[in-house]
Amino acid sequence: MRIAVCLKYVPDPGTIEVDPLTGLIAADRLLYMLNPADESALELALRLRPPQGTVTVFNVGPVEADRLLQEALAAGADAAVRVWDSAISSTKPMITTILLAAALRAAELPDLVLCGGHSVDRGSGTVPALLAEHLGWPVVTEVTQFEMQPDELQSGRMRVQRRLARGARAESEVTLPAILGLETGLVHLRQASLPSLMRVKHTPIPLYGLEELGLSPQDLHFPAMTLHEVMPPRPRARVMFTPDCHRSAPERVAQILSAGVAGKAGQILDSGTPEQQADAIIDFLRQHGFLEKSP
Amino acid sequence: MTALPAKEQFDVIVVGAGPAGSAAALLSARAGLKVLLLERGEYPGAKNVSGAVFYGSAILNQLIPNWWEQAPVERYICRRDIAFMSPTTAVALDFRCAGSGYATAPYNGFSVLRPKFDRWLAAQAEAAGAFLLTSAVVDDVLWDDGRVVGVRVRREQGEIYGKVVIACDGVNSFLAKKAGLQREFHAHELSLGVKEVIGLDPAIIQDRFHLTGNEGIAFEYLGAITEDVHGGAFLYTNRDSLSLGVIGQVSSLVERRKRPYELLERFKAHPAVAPLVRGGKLREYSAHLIPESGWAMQPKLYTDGLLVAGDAAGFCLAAGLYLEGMNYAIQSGLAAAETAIAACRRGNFSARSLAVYRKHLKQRHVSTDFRAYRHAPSFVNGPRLQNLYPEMIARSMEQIFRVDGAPKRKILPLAYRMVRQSEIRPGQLLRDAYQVARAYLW
Amino acid sequence: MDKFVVVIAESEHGELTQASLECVEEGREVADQLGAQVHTILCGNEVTPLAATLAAHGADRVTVVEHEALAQFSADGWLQALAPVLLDAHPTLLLAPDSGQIRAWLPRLSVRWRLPLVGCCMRIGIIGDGYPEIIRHTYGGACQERLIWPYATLVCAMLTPGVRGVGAPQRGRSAEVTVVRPELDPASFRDRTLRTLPADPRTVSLSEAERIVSGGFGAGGPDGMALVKRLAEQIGAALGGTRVAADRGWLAVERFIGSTGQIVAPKLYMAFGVSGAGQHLSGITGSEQVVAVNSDRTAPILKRADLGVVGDLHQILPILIRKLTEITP
Ligand SMILES: Cc1cc2nc3c(=O)[nH]c(=O)nc-3n(C[C@H](O)[C@H](O)[C@H](O)COP(=O)(O)OP(=O)(O)OC[C@H]3O[C@@H](n4cnc5c(N)ncnc54)[C@H](O)[C@@H]3O)c2cc1C
Ligand SMILES: Cc1cc2nc3c(=O)[nH]c(=O)nc-3n(C[C@H](O)[C@H](O)[C@H](O)COP(=O)(O)OP(=O)(O)OC[C@H]3O[C@@H](n4cnc5c(N)ncnc54)[C@H](O)[C@@H]3O)c2cc1C
Ligand SMILES: Nc1ncnc2c1ncn2[C@@H]1O[C@H](COP(=O)(O)O)[C@@H](O)[C@H]1O
Repeated sequence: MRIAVCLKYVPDPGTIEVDPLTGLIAADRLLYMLNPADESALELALRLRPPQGTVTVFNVGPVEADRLLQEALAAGADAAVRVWDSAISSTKPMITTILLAAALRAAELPDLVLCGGHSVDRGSGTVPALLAEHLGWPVVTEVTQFEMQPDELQSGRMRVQRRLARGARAESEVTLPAILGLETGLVHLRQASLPSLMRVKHTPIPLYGLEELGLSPQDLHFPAMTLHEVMPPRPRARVMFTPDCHRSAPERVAQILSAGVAGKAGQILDSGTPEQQADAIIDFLRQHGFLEKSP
Repeated sequence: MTALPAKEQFDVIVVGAGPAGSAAALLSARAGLKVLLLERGEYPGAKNVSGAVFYGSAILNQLIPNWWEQAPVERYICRRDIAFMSPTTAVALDFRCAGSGYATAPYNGFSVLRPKFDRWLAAQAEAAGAFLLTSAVVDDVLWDDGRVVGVRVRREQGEIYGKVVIACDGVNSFLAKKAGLQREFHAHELSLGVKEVIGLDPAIIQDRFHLTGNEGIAFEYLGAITEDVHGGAFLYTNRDSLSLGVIGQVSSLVERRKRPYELLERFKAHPAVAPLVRGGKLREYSAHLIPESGWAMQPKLYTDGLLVAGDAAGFCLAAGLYLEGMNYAIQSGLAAAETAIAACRRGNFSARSLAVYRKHLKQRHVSTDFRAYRHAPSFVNGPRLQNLYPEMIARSMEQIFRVDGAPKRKILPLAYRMVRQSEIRPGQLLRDAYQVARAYLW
Repeated sequence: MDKFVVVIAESEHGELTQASLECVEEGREVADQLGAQVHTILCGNEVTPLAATLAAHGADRVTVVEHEALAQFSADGWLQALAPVLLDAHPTLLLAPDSGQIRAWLPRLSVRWRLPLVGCCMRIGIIGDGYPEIIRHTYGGACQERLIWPYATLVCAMLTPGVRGVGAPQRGRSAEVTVVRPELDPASFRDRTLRTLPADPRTVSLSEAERIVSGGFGAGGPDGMALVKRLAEQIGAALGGTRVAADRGWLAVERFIGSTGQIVAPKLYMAFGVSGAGQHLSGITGSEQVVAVNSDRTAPILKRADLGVVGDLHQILPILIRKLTEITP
């Protein structure tokens, strides 16, 4: 069984400082780290690896990411590959996945590719499915749990759990080879031992450029998007139900002005015995259907 | 790298990549020794706190000529102020120097941001051939036959061996204690520094502090700033931010039930300080201990197979006019490296062989400075010099300058009245004057 | 030719997701600026009745793709069923909720059709003579970006759930509904959902919990908190609280709610002895119904509550627990 894990080098959210006026991030203050979801992915890959299996880690990024790949090797990955070329200027998901797909092919296709579900910088969780399309493989996103029985591997299928809304889960089955997008924080990456940490410190990481991957700059051409402006976060006022016509005019105005964000003008019960108050709460719960079926 | 023999993998193991550790590793590596530099942070400087004005420019210049051209320095310091404060007034001694050595190479001091500076210095050690390992917390020293032979890193198979270990792990050194060289400190020997970095437009900084180009200032404050807690405050300019903080003696913080950040808030709100920080944006907040008792806290500096340098050895001069630790950290780190190099040449790592460390420290003026100022800390950290006198000076000025129709008093009677009000006995005043003189003048 | 803003809707347990309704309404707003129609596409098994709700929130046309093989989600299945429908729809703009399931198949179409695809969108605008302008959040919400596509003819945007909010349905609005029954080959679906597992309130993470009962400093100590917890167990809710309660050790630290703790969006949020400090309230803005018990008439939480009770939790809670035991033994 051969497993590939995609690792991204991202700024530590704790070091992100946004200029309140321009919304720009102070780039020289950023510290980088392994994308948290990828940490789970790597650890799970190492746990899943059968005795004759291998785990190879892949990254698309500049040389700074070598440190990350070295740490993955120290933690137990068998091999690492970094993809970069002077012709590459950014890591847009579309371009990243063309490169990742080519690199996976160049390193002999694995049986399973694990990605993080989401990267914490400018990512949008589309890499797993984009990669799946480039490879022509199936994909399952928001995976929270998976395991593999030996007989499953034989049958070429595996079972996974994925997240649904409000804590529910779905059990899915996917045919191998496949790509999984894993949730953040499922498990922590193991700590590398001191000897292995020292061993990898100067281990060179193989670098694939466009030429090695058999690609040309034209292959990376894609309709251009213009980043028009970066700005500080401004929450969007939430839409609300139109004001209730039974309320007084001032109350309706207040409702409109608050855009439904605050001050719902609910019912306030400031009298009665505790007994009556408890009854009022029970009535409320019943009215809103919280007592019929407890989940 | 294939598996090395189990013992003596390295010539020198340096613990802690602060200024002391990086300097020690740099010099040892340049001498061709096999050096391991261990740092617990994710990168050197990740957790390090200082003011910070680095006054060791000339020292570093000998190691790395024109170092400031490549290092992440913020501004060179060409103006220093000492201000004596009452709750509403401030009297300042303002020193400016546009002349040689201050505003020209090698410069007297630079403001630096420690996370960047420490990282850079450690990278120089790496470039010289030292092996830097981060995220490596040392949690024990290894002994063999009564001699330190290595350290243990908190990781699987974390034992690692070396001929000499140099402990540069900062104030409250864990290693010096483990090696039985240092005792536990008393609360009155330690100060707590709390510090903020406040972002501000470089153009505003230049305007506000009357600076041009890369000039910078270092202000120190004494008196009512820390209320009745023994301590002081500082404010330094960086390229596009200010570093400011309050330092308070731990024992008096505890006694007076003061929280350090309350003092910092009060400091920032003082009429002499508020306009300087106005409009700034908080970038980081940190707190760190400072060893303040100089000579008195010095551990035994070496034992079989181990040397102690930097804050770990108490080489931090925090005495009123001075707040200098990084320069002494580097000096003592270099002295430790010189000692280790000599020991490696001789092949003898016993305490007797390492005793030349004292000589090297003296040659680098570390021990001489600390001896010279040995009287300063106990007195400077006392209540009268830190709180009472500065406040009296500030209040006196308030009286002297006041024009309110009442008859003008001459200065002496005024001062006399101030002293009387403060309930200091004249004898004590004299004795304090002598103490100041002894601490700083001769 | 008519212009169409095409919106993809999703259903779960026979109901449209909130995120889908947000997308339909956002699509409506954009379509009004473009002079376009909103064409909503819904995929599943026996989901046709939901078309009326889509119309009430702004859809002009609804295409329902029905097939028994689509009763449970499959990315391959959705792709097979929807690709031809989307191709026929000739969208000028494509909107979809930014959900895990959408992210499993929509990006594939963006590769095939060379469409720009953006996730984490907060708002879609129109500038000039009809170019889309998208505001998205990045770096975990620390930053926002404004994006435009000067050359693209069609952009595909995935809208982050919960940002826009859902307005009131407009009764009497109707849409032209088309039901499509595609020919599918379920055997070729390489991924299949076998079954769904309900959430367990005791272990579900707070951010996902459907019901939460919280205790604050007003609970007075571990004993008060135990009462709060008892109620939580009784109504199948997860236990939460304020930072103060967590700091005192009455509550596990990973269970406090607010700007520096968990952000929650339950259907029911009950708060006992919680004052409603800004830092706490900003963590519960997504809650649908809020019940608060507080002895102080002026506590801010009461202003946020749908039912606010001014009283002593130590008196009310035991009675409440007893009565609930009687109702649901
Ligand atoms: C608020 C404040 C303001 C100051 N202002 C100034 C100033 O303006 N100018 C000045 O010169 N000095 C100043 N100082 C003093 C100065 O910071 C110190 O004297 C100086 O940093 C000492 O350097 P060092 O290398 O000995 O120790 P440190 O800089 O403390 O470095 C110790 C290193 O060891 C590492 N370490 C510790 N334990 C372990 C372990 N077990 N395993 C591995 N690594 C470990 C730490 O992570 C750290 O990197 C100030 C101090 C404070 C607190
Ligand atoms: C930087 C920062 C970040 C913070 N982040 C968070 C955060 O993420 N989450 C958070 O929760 N807090 C946060 N806080 C703390 C927050 O400001 C409030 O202090 C905290 O939420 C208050 O908790 P409380 O409501 O439990 O306590 P209190 O404010 O003390 O309120 C207790 C309430 O209980 C009521 N009460 C008392 N006795 C009874 C009784 N017998 N019956 C009924 N009611 C009673 C009182 O009237 C009062 O309203 C943060 C604070 C800071 C400074
Ligand atoms: N440049 C990259 N190199 C390697 N893997 C990546 C890269 N970008 C994204 N990924 C993978 O794709 C996942 C989702 O990223 P995103 O779509 O950017 O949110 C990440 O968690 C990584 O596993």
